[in-house]
Amino acid sequence: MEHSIAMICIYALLALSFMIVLRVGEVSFGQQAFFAFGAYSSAIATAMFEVSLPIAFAIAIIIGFFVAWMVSYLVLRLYGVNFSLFMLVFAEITRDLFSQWTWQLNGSNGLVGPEGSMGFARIDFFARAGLSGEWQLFILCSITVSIFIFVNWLLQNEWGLRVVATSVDRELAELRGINTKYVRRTAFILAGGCASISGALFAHYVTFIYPSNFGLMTGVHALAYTLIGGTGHVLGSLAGTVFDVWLLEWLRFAGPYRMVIFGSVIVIALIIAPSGIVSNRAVRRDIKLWGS
Amino acid sequence: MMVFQACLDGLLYSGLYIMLGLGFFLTFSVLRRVDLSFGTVIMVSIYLASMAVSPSRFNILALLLSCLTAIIIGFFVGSICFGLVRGDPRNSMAATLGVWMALEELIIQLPGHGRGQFVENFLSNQGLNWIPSLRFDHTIIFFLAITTAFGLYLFLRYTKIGLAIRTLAFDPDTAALMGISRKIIVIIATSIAAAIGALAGYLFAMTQHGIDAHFGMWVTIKGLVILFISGATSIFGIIFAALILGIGERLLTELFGTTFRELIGMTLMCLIIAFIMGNNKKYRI
Repeated sequence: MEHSIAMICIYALLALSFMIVLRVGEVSFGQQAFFAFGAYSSAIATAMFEVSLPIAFAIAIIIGFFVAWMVSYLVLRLYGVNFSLFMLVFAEITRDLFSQWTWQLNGSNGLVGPEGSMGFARIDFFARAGLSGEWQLFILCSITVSIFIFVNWLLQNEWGLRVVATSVDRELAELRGINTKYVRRTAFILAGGCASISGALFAHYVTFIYPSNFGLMTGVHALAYTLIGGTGHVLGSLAGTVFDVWLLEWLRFAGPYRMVIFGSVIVIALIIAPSGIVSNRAVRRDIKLWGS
Repeated sequence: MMVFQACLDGLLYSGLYIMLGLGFFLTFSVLRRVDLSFGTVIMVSIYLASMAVSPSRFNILALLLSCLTAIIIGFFVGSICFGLVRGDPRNSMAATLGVWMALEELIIQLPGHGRGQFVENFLSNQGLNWIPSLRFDHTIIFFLAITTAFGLYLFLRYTKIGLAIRTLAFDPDTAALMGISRKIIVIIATSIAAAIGALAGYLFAMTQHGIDAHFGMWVTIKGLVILFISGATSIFGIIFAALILGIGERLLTELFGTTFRELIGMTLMCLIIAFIMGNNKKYRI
């Protein structure tokens, strides 16, 4: 149960990153690249340079923002399928780079650092700090909830309206005086930061990362979580992740056939609820009812 | 000489990529949706056909059977993912992902077949008399791909069904006003796409003497890359993109080895996409 909750927290943030890009009207197949940057940068900070966890997470977010900002100058020239392809290729380049990259330092427990396709082992900050499983879960949950609240606040404000306007009709939005380039760039950078912090949480929770953790399937799964949960509200990403992770755990009884059932359930869920488990309208109605 | 040989080897891959790209192109043009299960459907068809026919070693039958199976499975997958799943087009894409996962896992769990399926090469793999470094089977596959592309071009250009497919790809509203049944045209286009894809997949499996359960993912990724590089605007764009990808991959392997091939190739692709490819293209055939 603890493991499932931890995984939900990590993948919900990655799904949120996909959702932010979807909200500006683009489909990204490559947010897992920022997930990788976050995982590696924070792991290097804590395992190789033994900095504290908050600083490592801050580094991960800054790296995520910075990489997204750099990439945005290339990718935001593109729209539609070209955008999707660029992100897919960018993610594969990133994974390939980490598969080639070796940089190890002598630590207290021997050599530590990324070792190409062998991955990055001994990211053991939680163990060194003597944090119990409950504490780890508390850290994961509190970071995830904080980021969800922050992104929801952003999306409910004027910036969120501009994002929606850019997504619905870019030209009309520009005629109304909205700087769509700025909106797209800020959304892309925010999405990069979310994926990056998600990667940092992942690296520290699992303590061992491989470049294959950041492949296309990771991204496509997170994208599916978002679409199943619904893109109308940030809770959609969370609901989609909860549904999928819980379903995968619950389907353990099916043994080797659980992915067959899982895949079929995804299709059925999309037929039954095409706008996702959580729709924006439903959330607002519930909030109103709760308020009254 | 090394470069020349790499180009010749690249032609095989180009031929296969042309056919895969054509399959994706037809599906994408009429549906306006990305079918992530395309490769997996092809993989399952090849598995089933070669399992059924391999004891008799009647390989041409296996090839035809895999095309037929791909059409049937493709029809069911299309009906579910593009017919029953409504709303946002991205939902259909996610549904095809679900089908991909389910089918791939089914193949992995097949008793004795999870690790791979042997596919016999019924063409000679010897070099040609006039160019010894060019294999006979590779040459046949390349010319088959060019013939398929040309045949498809003629079909789309000079038949009524072809005109209907082009109209639907260009503007669904105009197609509806002209009395073209979207449902029937989609079935025809996706069936042709599945058959071409299965043909390409089977020929590739044949030259490699078999496939494994991850073949579908390879097909899907390569097909998507060709579709996007070509800009999904014309058959000649697909041929051009497939030639660039096939020959480019082999050349990069020769020049930089397999370690840096993908890295350099993908970086170049990123730059091409960002700086050269135009946007807002109207989909037409």
